[in-house]
Amino acid sequence: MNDLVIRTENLTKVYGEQEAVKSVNVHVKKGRIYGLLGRNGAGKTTIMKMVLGLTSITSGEVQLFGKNIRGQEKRIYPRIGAIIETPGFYPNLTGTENLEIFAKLRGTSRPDAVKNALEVVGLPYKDKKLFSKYSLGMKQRLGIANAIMHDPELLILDEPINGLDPIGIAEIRKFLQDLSKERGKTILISSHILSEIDLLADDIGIIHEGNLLEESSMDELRKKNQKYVLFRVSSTATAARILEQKCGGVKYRIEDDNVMRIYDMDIDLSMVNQAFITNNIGVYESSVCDESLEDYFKEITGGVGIA
Amino acid sequence: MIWAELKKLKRHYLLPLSIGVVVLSSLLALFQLTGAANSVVGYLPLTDGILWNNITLTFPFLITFFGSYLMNREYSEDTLKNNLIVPVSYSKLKFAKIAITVFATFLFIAVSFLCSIVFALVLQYPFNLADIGMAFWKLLVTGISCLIAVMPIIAFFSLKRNLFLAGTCVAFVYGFCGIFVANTHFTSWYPTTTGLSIIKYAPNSANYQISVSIFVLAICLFISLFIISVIRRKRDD
Repeated sequence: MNDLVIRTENLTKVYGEQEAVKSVNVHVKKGRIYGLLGRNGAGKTTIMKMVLGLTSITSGEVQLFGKNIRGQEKRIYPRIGAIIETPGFYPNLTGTENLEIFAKLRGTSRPDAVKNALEVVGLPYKDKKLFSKYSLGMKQRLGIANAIMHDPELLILDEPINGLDPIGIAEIRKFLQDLSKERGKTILISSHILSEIDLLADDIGIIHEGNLLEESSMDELRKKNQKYVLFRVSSTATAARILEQKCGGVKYRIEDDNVMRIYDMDIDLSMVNQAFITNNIGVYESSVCDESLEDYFKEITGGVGIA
Repeated sequence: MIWAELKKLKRHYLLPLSIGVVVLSSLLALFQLTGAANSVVGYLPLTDGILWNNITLTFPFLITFFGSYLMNREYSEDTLKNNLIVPVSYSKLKFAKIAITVFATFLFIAVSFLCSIVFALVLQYPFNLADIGMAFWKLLVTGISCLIAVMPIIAFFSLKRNLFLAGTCVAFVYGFCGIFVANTHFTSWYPTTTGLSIIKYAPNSANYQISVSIFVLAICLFISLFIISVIRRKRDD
């Protein structure tokens, strides 16, 4: 329990009649990257806001570094860097001037903190360009620079790669991985981009309609993901009937009129192929596949894909 | 905090625009003075005209606009969250904004004062050091009382995002009503005109009660502090 940097207990948020977050228990371990994955509007930002104390908690509890944040803000906030929703800065100031304000307010002692943070995210120091003229990608980078400027132990990043170009995404991913692996920083990152969480996270929490449906390490999740045989046939309805007749009890799933998956890997595939063909079902493809994170996401969210 | 708040105003239109409004208000006073038939012209009448315009037309809405805009931009530019997780508490942020509004009010008073001197020099109105001292005192007292009078409006209308324009309108009407109150028994009771009572704007008037004016301004300060502390509690909850 002591290695938990963030722990929530039955965290719930109700807006009016709508329950945006429902009894969520998140466990973020020290030195690991925790990916909070969910569709837009699933409740990721609300969870992060509650963790940071930016919105009130309807019920439940948040512990940061083993302590309740309420009343401990002055001790706990300096240990955290965060981006929540869009990066908000003063449009009449340059990126450097914006960071200087927050560095001063934080009492950041290192004189080159602003310069270093800007270098890390690839933005120029003392540039004349105003924040109002920044592209979305530049704004996002400035947000990350602000989050890391004071060398926090914990980073809470809400959709930090939104608006970044592919090279920018790869750079930030590498940077976050280095922060975690080499400097032992703990990172809670949310995204609706499944591949990003897949590439970046050590642990994952899948959130859907305010419920945390799954929480595990990525390694465990990969082990859980089943192998299956994908059949592309002329009619999945007929194929399913044949399958039931020939191998009753076999576990399968119909994707659409032409694609089905058989999860029972002990089945005699040559027999299945032969049965389909002798019953005039065209078999266009049969291949052994691994279930992807997206498949798993669909499965546990009841079939709805992400994004 | 104050340094940060001042830096946030760099290159922003708010301060130059506000100073422009103060200059225009002073110019208007000059035109009113020179354009009116049988009016007594001179440095002190000009100063009286400027401070009259300040408290009835310009300062209530301008100070309210300035103060509540400073707070509102933290919502509209979505920077409040960055401040709160520093952490800068909401009430500290609010007090820093009010401090900047106080500085700005002193700046507006200084601009009004400067205008009175420049206009008097241009129009060759005679004045001496005592006149300058008197003019500065009057502008200072009426300006500060105006600031205190609108503080509850600033505090209230920056409770929520985008309410600041409504607050500015309320403050304008509030200040404008001062015109109808200024020569009545309510001069000392009406917050924006308390300054007139303190400086004895019309020396022979029996309507002024300085103690009442100070009491009214103290109430305004108390209401402002109460609203700000309510905000803090609400935020903390």
